[in-house]
Amino acid sequence: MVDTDTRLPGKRCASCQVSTLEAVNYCPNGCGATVVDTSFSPEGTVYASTTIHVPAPNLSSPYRVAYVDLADGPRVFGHLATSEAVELGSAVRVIRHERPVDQAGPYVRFQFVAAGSAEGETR
Amino acid sequence: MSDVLAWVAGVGCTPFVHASTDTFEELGQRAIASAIDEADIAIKDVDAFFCGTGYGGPLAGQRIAGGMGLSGRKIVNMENACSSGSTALELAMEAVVAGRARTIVVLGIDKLSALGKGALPLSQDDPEVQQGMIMPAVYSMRAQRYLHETGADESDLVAVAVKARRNGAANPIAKMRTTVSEDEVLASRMISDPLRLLMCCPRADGAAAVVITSTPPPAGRGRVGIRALALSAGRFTSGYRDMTRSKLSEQLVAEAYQQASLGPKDLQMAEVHDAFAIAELMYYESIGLAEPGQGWRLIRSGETAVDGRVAVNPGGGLIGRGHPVGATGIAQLCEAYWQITGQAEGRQVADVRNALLHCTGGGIAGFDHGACSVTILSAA
Repeated sequence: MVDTDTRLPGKRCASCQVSTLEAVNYCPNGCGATVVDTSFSPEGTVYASTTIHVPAPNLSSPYRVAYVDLADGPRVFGHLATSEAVELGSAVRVIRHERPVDQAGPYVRFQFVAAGSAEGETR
Repeated sequence: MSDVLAWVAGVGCTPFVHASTDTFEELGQRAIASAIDEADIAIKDVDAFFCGTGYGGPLAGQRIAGGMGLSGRKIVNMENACSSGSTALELAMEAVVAGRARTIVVLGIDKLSALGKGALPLSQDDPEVQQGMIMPAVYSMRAQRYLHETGADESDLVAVAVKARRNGAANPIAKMRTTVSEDEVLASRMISDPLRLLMCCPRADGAAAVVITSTPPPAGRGRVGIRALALSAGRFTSGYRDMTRSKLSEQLVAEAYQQASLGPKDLQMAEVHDAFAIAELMYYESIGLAEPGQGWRLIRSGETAVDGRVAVNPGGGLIGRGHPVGATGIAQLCEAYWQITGQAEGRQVADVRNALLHCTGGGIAGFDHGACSVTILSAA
């Protein structure tokens, strides 16, 4: 079921409209205005990706990462959910995860699945 | 040409090695002693000591200065990731130009063997590092886009690595003193595709020092001066940025050319920040040797070899020399100094009058680069 819960939370500057997925307190553009809550569509396109072969705690090895440009503007870094090749510019949907409790080190905060796929919803 | 901003009176550089048997302090002292000896000055005449280090820890400069009589004066420690050494140089140059000091020792140093194995540790507060981002991956994604958008292919990344190792093999202070073949580069293990191990700069321990003065060295010695130095941070953005092009580098290169009243045609050599092979192709474009998207043509044509049109990284660059983070910016200056004064045996570039040094520092989300420094060094 697609509802507002699938939108990604973030912040937006009330003046210059620059937006980000991070919980910032100040306008990232330096315009000094108030930042307000906002949310973004989880739809985006892959800008670049790579497979990292250097092992990291808590992550599978190798692990696949990418930059995705959201339709609503911000660029997000995260993990590709598929082991198949991903074309630059391909459409993906972004799923956000909380940090697992009591886990330090890297974790999968943003996961990218092919747009229209059901993959990843029960993770 | 413009006036010299500050003079290079002497340089000193330790060998860059995998794990030095020297302590951090001993490494720094060696480089400084060598520079002071070449500059033929007394320690008591040094007005200030600026120390650039990425991972050296608190009071790094003081820990080095104490045991060699360099304490008891202005000592400043600077960190700008891989641009730490260049940053220390820039602030020293500003102090000399402002008339606040006549003689400054600038040191770049890092002992990365103290940090353990693997990729360099980055800030754990960074949202991308929190998800497992590492520096090679940033450049791998640059490479993927660059290969996708331009006529470059994997062989160009290989060619950069082969050139770096060929030049480094002739550099007595380089960590990597053997050449590698194209096959060896392609057989090296994958770090993050398309970057293989031999396309990435190796970690190292090392220190490089320079004595900067407000007046030229005595007549009868090669005179080398700084004609331009531009330093800035990148601009943070949460949205789209073109990862195949360093606008920050272009901006600072333009400033430096303007300061020096020179252009790319006036260069005989450049040292650029080849932390990963793709970076060198991008920076050919940043420094004006090629149009955007065309840098890969220069490695194919041989124009950037030691005997080419403009020698790029004749000292081996980061890939051949190794990259003790804070030391690199000053090691680039040492190479240019040796080239200008005809001391670069086995890799000598002909008749170097002007050298451009380009050093970047990165590793945090949302930035083209965290810092970038561009210096123009000239025979004067």
